[in-house]
Amino acid sequence: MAMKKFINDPKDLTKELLEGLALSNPSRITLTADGLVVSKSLGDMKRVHIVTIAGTGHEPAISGFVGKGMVDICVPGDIFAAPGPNKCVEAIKMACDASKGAGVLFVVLNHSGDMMSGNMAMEMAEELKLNVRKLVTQEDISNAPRSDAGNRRGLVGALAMYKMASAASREGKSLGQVYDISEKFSLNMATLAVAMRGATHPQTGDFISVFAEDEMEIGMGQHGEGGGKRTGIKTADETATIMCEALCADLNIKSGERLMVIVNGSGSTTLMEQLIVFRKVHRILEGKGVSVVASWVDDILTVQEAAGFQLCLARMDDQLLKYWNEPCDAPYLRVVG
Amino acid sequence: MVKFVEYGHLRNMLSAAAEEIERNKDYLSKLDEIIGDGDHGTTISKAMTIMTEALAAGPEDDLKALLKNISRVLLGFAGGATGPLLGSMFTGLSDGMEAGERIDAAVLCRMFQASEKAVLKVSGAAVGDKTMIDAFIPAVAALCRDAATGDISRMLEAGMQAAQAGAESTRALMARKGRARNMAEKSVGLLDAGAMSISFLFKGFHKGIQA
Repeated sequence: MAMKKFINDPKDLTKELLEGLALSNPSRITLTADGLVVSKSLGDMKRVHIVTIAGTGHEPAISGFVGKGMVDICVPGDIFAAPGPNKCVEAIKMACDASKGAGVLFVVLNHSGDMMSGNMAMEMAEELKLNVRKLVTQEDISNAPRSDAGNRRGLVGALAMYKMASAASREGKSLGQVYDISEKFSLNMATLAVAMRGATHPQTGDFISVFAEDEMEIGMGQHGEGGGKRTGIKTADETATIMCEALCADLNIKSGERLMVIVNGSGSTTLMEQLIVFRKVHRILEGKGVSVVASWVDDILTVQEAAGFQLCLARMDDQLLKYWNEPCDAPYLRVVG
Repeated sequence: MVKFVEYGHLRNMLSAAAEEIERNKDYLSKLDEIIGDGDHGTTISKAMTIMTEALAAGPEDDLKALLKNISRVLLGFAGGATGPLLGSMFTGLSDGMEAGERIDAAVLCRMFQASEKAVLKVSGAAVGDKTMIDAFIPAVAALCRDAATGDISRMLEAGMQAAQAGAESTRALMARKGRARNMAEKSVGLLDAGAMSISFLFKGFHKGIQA
């Protein structure tokens, strides 16, 4: 079956989508000549700046979350492919200069290519004596236990973490403090994904994962790589229950705690479905004596037209809740002050 | 018998390597589709295009700088893991030789050993993890074993055969690194695209030296 997408030459996908993003958000971001997505708020005050990297093809993530109160610079790669280290260093340097001495928090989601580039970029940044610290996010519970977190993939949780980091930086927190607050959030979040239909790679038209009519898989890779358990199609409530229980167990959630709940659509799963799932998650948590103090239900970090979603639970406290409610103005996350 | 790798030889080796990848890019993507995200062939083909452009830009009279330039452009493109890995391969090749040094068998071995070290540092994988390393390390070892003959063509032939065998060995392995790691047991019985790429590169190197 031929791929049905509104695209032009597959070679130009990244360039064209980023141009569209910049043109539709002129007050929020700039697309530089060499493809960096930079917040218009870069350098607006002496503060820690937030830099991150990501493959494209996951829109609105991550470039759609560059803006005031979120990411300062995103280094986009190509479809599902991390950028090279040279561009990462360029972005870190630009952010460092803009930070007026406060330094840079460099966030990398744990995927092979991103980690290789990120590590190489940090070596180069250290040689240049740039004031930068790298934080890796890795919260997918499906491919490794918490004790082996180094092998967990970074999924949607990072998107909420950027907001925490940025709000902390705007409060005047130092690089060490912004790092600690962000790390605290990242170590207390857990995500699980489920998929029932794979996607096509927009450059090659090849299928990324194929499911039978009556199959779904809990614990999918970010780009459709298999790795979880295939089962028959379950109802929204059954699926939500399995996933929510697994996440609560991983985080050892206790009665009286406060959580953020993120339901992140993979691309073709309707908001209708996401909301139905959220409803069940909310009920399960209430039943456990847990308060849902923050929620985000949307297509955030997608995989083309994949059907499925990620469920992320993250521990909240007074500080994080305050940060979550701070204003921000990125193309795909806006919080009014 | 080829005793030295001059600019013409290097150009032919790299061009032939790029051709091998181009010829097999759909196959490589297909391999990557089963246990990855289906784009390895496209990505490495793009890398070869960038490499070929840098090769054409020279300098022809300074092979150390030429190899360094190639590594720089490979580190500059968005190629996921392929960029850092291939980029490091060329950084190592460049670092393994002195400026202005003539590349004889011993120097070529030294260059590939430096290349292997650079790639391993970035990769973090070991033989048996079902990655390009399974083809690359045996290739370098085989190539260096024949260095004493002084016959570069023979070295590259040995490297090619070892790379091929190494790539074939990935079939039985369970992936422990990279995207395929997410497949775990399901990755057994399938060839690793990265290892096959290395095998094609060495096939090209050997073909090119004979041109």
